[in-house]
Amino acid sequence: MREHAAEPVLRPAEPERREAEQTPDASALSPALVSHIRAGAGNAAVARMLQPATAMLSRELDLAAIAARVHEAVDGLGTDEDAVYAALGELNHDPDATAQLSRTYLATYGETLETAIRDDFSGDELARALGLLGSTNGAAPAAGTVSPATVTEAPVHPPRQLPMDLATGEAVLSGAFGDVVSITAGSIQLLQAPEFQAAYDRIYGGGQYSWAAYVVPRYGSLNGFAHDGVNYINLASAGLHTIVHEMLHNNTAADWRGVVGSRWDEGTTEVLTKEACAKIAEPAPTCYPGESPVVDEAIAQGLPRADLREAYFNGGAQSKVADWVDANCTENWAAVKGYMEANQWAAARAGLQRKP
Amino acid sequence: MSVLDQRALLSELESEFPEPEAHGDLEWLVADWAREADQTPNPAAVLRFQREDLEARTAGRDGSGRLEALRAHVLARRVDHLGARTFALGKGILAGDVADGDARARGEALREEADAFAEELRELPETPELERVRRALGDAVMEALFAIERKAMSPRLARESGDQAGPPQVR
Repeated sequence: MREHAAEPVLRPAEPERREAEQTPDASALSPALVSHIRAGAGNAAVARMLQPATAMLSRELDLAAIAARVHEAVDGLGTDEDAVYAALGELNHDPDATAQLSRTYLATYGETLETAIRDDFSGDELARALGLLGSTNGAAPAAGTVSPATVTEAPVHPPRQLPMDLATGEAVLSGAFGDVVSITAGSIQLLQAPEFQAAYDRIYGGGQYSWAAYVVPRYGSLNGFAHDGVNYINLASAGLHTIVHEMLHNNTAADWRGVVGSRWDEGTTEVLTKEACAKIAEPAPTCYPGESPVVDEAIAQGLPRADLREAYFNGGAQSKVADWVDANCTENWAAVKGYMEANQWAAARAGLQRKP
Repeated sequence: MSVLDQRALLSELESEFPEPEAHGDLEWLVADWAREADQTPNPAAVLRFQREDLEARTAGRDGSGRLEALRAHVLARRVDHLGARTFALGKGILAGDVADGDARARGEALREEADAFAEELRELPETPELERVRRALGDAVMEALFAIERKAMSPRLARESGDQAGPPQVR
């Protein structure tokens, strides 16, 4: 008998029911976690279902228009501070509306709203603008406005605190690759450690491979697994870059993996993850130190990055990648792909050297 | 017969890692490098990348830290080899090319290998490098468990299954 999918199917009018079904004891969860599960942890379909409710919470604000007004005010030389205050004031300090606006801005303009403001504001003006976003960290107050004793040594540019959710991942990718492809989230479940373990135990619990009996004593934890078409990610060992990476996998062209194989796919996904995260200065460590250097090697040898991107999202991997290797490299694509699938990274890189 | 002069290579590496406890790892590494390089038309180029990789992993460390980086690098390569085999088995199962009993037996053997690597991993001091080994090992063990139980699998194997409705059930 097939195992049941871990994610419940819900009607859009019943967000409370979804919350209760997804967590065994919702009352034991923090408001932040409940909010996270409600807004971001579902699959794309559920997230889309919940969007109308979010828009209502946001008093039907035209977030795209607000984002455009802010962008117009900070774009180019000079800044129209009053226009920014007026636009952000419409959020009325609503955290849901602010989060939605941040994603909209990121997806549309390829940088975070906070970065855009920090680049153009300083002192009291920066504090005021960030205050309208509900953020005060890093906004250095002007001398004399607060007691010196209350001024902490907060960095001018504190660590980025983008939400770790599907909507933000989608916004990052839309900002980076929206001109090439329309990004969709796909079936990903982002789970805090207890929920991740519970999801695992819905499959293996009660037997010799249960979380407590098998995983913990040998592996401590796991980063992720897949079951019944859903990709489960353990947020305890993930960053926003993980979400971006996994979401990229859900946006490949139909012919991509069949032509390039699993390992080249992984390497390219990491290269594109770094590209997307770099646009917003989001850290993206190398998680696949075998795979991505091979793809970087191909780019260094002349494989056009735009062709790689186009093949990844829209198709044509045979002509844009495989045929390019056949025509330009010392070994043919079949050999390079074979090395990759055997995890022989050095052999693959050597095979990608240009023909003399 | 190997194209690479393994004896000379081992001697070179032993001058870089003179500690006696490094000998076993270096011997394994040289043989593994040779296996990879010998199958290619340009073993010297392969060796260059292999050496660069080792240098990158051990750069800036000395003494016990350098030895631990060597051990981590060797473990990473062994886990990579295991991952190639678990993934290939998973693909074979998804394609219907491996009989149930055979899949289960091979999955069990691979799971035991993964468990042994996990034990070695626990003995190494925590470094960022080990996180990627842990991730690769996690994928491998999920694929081994899939071969045994036909339930959950690694995300990469799930992608391989493409548009299939889900993993086949144990009959």
